Parts: sequence; C-alpha cells; structure tokens
Amino acid sequence: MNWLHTWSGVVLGSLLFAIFWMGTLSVFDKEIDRWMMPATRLAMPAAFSYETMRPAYLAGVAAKAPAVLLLVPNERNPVVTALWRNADGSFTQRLFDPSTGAELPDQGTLAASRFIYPFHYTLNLKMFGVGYWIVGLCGMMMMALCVSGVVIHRKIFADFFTFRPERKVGRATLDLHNVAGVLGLPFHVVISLSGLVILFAIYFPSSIWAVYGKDARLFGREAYGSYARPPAKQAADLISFDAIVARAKASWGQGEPNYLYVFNPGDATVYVQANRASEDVVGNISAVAYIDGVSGDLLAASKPEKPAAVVQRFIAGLHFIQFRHWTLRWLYFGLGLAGCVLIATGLLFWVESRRERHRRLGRSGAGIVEAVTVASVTGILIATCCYMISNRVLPLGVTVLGLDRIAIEIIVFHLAWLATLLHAWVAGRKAWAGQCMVVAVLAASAVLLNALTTGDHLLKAVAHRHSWPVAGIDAMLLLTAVVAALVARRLAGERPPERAAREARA
Amino acid sequence: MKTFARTMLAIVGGYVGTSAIIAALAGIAVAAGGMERSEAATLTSMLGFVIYLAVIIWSFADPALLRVALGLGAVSGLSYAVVLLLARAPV
Amino acid sequence: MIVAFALLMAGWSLIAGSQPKQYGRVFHGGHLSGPLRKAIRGVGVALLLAALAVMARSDSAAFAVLSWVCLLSVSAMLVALILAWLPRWVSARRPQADSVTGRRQRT
Repeated sequence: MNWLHTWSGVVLGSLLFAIFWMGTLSVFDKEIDRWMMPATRLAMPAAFSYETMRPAYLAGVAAKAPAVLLLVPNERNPVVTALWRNADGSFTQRLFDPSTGAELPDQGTLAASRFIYPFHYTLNLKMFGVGYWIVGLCGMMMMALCVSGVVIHRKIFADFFTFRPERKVGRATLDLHNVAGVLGLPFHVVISLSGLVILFAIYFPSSIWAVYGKDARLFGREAYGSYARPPAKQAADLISFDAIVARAKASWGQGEPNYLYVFNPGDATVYVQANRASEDVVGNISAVAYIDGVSGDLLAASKPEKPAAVVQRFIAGLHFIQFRHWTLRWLYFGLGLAGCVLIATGLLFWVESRRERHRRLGRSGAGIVEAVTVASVTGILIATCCYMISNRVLPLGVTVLGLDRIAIEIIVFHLAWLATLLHAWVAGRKAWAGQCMVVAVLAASAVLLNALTTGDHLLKAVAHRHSWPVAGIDAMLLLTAVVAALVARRLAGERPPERAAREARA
Repeated sequence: MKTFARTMLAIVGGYVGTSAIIAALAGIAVAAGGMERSEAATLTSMLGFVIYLAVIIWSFADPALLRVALGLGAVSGLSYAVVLLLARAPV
Repeated sequence: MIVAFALLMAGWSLIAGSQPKQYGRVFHGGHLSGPLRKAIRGVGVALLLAALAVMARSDSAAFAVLSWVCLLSVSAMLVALILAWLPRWVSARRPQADSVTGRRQRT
C-alpha cells in the first residue's frame, strides 16, 4: 500500500497537479474569458429577446455549417456565441452582442473555455483521444491514492488537525499533506469519481456493446432521448427564436434554455434542440425539447426520469457546476486549491525525505523529481500568468511568422512552462524561491497590463456590476502575487539543510 | 520486474477484467432482471469505476501476485463466457 | 450561510481542541479528563449537524447537503490553520511560556 501510494504519487503527481490546477481555474472559466476577451465585458440587457440570436444563426447558415450551436447569453457569459464545425473538421466560434445582435470583433484567443477547460480533461492532446485516457488513468490513480493514503495513515485520523509550520520543512510538509488530504478527502474522492463518470461511455463502453451489440449508436437515443433527421436539400427560413423558445418552455415548464442547437440550418427540415439551463438543479441536463424550425411543432421532448440516467446526470452535474450558486462555486475553488496543495506537498515530501540520501549516494532521482515538481507547481503558475500577459500584450489580429494570435498565446504558455523546467533543472533547490518571485512579478504585471490596455482597473471594475468578473480575476492575481512574494521571502530566508545540520551538531 | 508485472496486472488486467465483468452484469440485468438496455449500460458502466478501483487496490495489497492473476483471470473468463452466451441466445 | 459557517468553525474548534495533542499544544501540557473530552466532542459534532439544519432551511436539499459537505472541509482546514499558529499567539501574550515554544521550535 505504502509502495502504491509513494510511486503512483511520484509518477503521476505532476500530471495530477496540472489537471487539478486547470480544473480549479475552470471553476471560473467564464470570468477568465471576460478578462481575456475585453470586448465581451458587457452588461446583460434588461429584457433579452431570443430573436437577437438571429444574426449569429445567419452567420452559420452563410458558412454552410451542418449544425450551429447557439449559446444563450447569461450573467456570467453575456454574449451570444455561435459555434460550428467546418467541412475540414476545424471549429469556428463567433461572438455577438446580446443587446443589438451585432457581431463583436474577433478576440483572437482561446481564453479559458477553449484552452484551460479542455486542458483539464484532455491535456489538449487530441491525437486518438489519448488525452482522455491519460486523464482517466490519473483520475483512477487519484482514487487509488486516496484509498492507499487512508490505509497508510490510519492513525492520522486521530490528529488530523496537526499542522506545525514551525517544524522543519519536511515535517511541516507532511503535516500539510495530511491536513489537506484528510480534511478534503470527500471532495478529492467525489471530484475524481464524478470526473470519470461524466465520460463513462468513453471509459467503459463494454457494457454498452454487450447489451446493444452492433447498434451501439442507439444508446444515445435511448438514454438521452435524442432526435435526428436528414436534410431535405430545400431552402427554408427559420421561424422566430422567441416562438421556438416559447414552445420549448411549454414542454418543460419553468426555466430558460442555456443553448439552442440548430440542425440542418437554412434547410426545410431545420429543427432546434433546446436545452433547459440547469441553474436551479445539481444535475447537468434537466430537460430537452426538439422543435421543428419551420412549423414550430414539438418533435420530441425528454426529461431525465430513468433512475440510472438521473444518477449519472447528478454526478456529472456536481462536477460541471453549471448551477447558479456562488457559495458552492467558491467552495469548489477553495477545495480545488486544497487538492493542488495536497499533490504539491506530497511530491515535496518525497523530495525532502530523499534529497540528503540521494546526494550522498550520488543518485539523481531526487534531483530529477525536484526539478519536475518545481516545473509542475510554480512552473504551471508562471505559464498561466505568461498566457494571460501575452493575451494583454498582443494586439488584435497580429501575426508572427505566419502564426495567428491564438497560436502565439499557446506557444507562449508552453515555452514558459519549458523554461521553468530548464530553470528548475539548473537552479536545483533554489528554483522554488526564484520561481515564486517570478510568479509574484508576473501576476502583478498582469493586473497592471489589464488596467493599461483596457482601462478597467480594479476600482473601476468593482464599481460596475457587469465587470465584477474582471475585478475578481484582478483581485485573485494580486492575492497570488502577495502570497507568492511572501513564500519566496520565507524560502529565501531559510537555512539550507546542510548548514542547519552543521549547526545542530555544533 | 515483479513490480512491473504487478503494475501491468493492476492497470491493464484490471481494465480488461472490469470491462468483462460489467458487460456480463449489464447482460444479466437485461436478460434476467428485465432492466432497460440504456439503464443497464449506464448503471454497470458507473459501477465499473468502483470495481476497477477495487481490483487495483487488491492487486497491490495482495502479496501473492499469482493469486490475483488467477482470480482476476477466472472472473474475467467466466464473465466473457456469460457475455458470449447471452449474445447467442435470443433475448 | 454565515450562521452555518460560524457553527461549523465552533464545532470543529471544539472537536480539535478536545484532542489531547492539540489541547496540550495550546494550554501547555494541560490535561482534559476522559468524560469531559467526550462531552466536548459531542457538543462539537452537534454543532456541525446544526449547521446542516441551518443550511437545509435556506436551500434545496441537494444543494444544502453539497454545500454542507464542502463547507465542512473548508472550515476544518481553516481551524487546522488557526490551530497551527495559535500556540504562538498564546505564548506571545504569556511571556513565561516562551521557553516552551522556543524549545519546540528547535526540535
């Protein structure tokens, strides 16, 4: 058990940290989107008409998209978003003003929703879906780590409040690991399990194959009541969006839709899948209605009522946090950070307890793990800050060496991450303090750059309700800067272990 | 070497074994329990994560690696036989 | 929500304080009798459950339980962090106790 905990922790710890970090940021993905896409820092109109979504729909028709996904604007995401897949397999996203329907200038960024959030569950490795499987394995091992951790430290339940920062780094690290692990245990287990359950059909498809045989595609239709019909190749106009939404609401009662998925746009067989926003329930899908886009008739409607499907959606919903509940959102953020602390201190403890021995024996193990740990903990913070800074520095529509703005931002993220690894390798133990200082400087300059390039400085952002997300991100960046600076100072002032040992002997 | 074998058994063997078990469970739930197809598949797939976790823990906790391998192999084989039988029988 | 949070903090503080190790840290070698320790712990658990009741009144059942579990973890971590620095604050106000913490810091 001890072996399992130690080694799966060391091998997968860095990846787990990246997944937890990106997941924690994804709790506030829409807020980061506002920060990184200044043109979308809009106020929701007092009375929103669904007909405002027509220009977004027509853009999809003009692009000859087979289906257009239209996201309904809301307080956290006050833009009409149109998304479709092009013939070459790439995706196009366009943003529209929720008050006028006018198209907003291209923001040239993947921001959080299209970079940080997919990083959380695929590591952005698209080839053969390998990212899903790596993250899935990490999720399984996280649960195995939780179980083995509890088995090893059975007795820590007796004193799980013990954190002694005054002790040596090694001891204090283990204390913190235990506190974050034991007190956050329910969250760590549930968040890992629910993350896996979301994608059960990818991870464990054998049960679907067993009962469906060759027609596994029927599973989606039977489990979720989905509907489909082929295009008729005859042009037709779509009826009013307000009428479509009214028909959908008549089928499910209270509640607005969160997206309208228009299939066969511009065709006589056009139909709209309206999905009820699950703002007031934990489960992630509450009701779906399919409306004929020409006649306005209800084609199909479904509500999750089969027990296993309801349970699956509840578990998935508790991971997705699409509900409107600010307290829970902040609690998830805090507990996500606790998960990051748990993983980082686990790795750190491994290094601390072996550093001396490995140095004596001339082994490189502790050194390598330490460099990787530094890069995966402070390194990913630096990379994230650089990603946000590049977003504020690069002008819209810029291209460098034939790369567009989106590509440059992502390259900056990865180059910065790589640089932290090289630095950690060269600087060894001192890398911690150095990189913490860099985090402090970068986070503070991101706030400054936001104020300079958009004019939305903290005081101004706090004054307007619709720019609170921007104020929140700025405040978090400043807090990060302060904490990182304090940690850097504490680490720089610490006596190196050799000297401490010499003093103890004297 | 033994460590590598144990890890492979837990990760790969555990996955294959779990897949076989949940496939058999889903088949039985539909054939004998009269459960809806989509429900049986959803339920057993979700159970799969718990079963997989148990298998991983077991293969690291049990000092006798051979016992784990034989046990897992037997259960998987039996499950696979059930799946094949149910596939042939008209439901 | 604030009431529930206060109840949770109080509950965890009592439970943590009743652990012999923590009690000794804060009250320098003080000792609690067995029945008293059990009583304090019982009150602590009751406070934690009271917080759930408070939250269930202002929220739907699913959200109340979910937020309670999350808040349970967060408040417990906060108590652990406060306890970590409490002995130092206490000893700062009681100069005669300095030698005790001083010795501990060096070990």
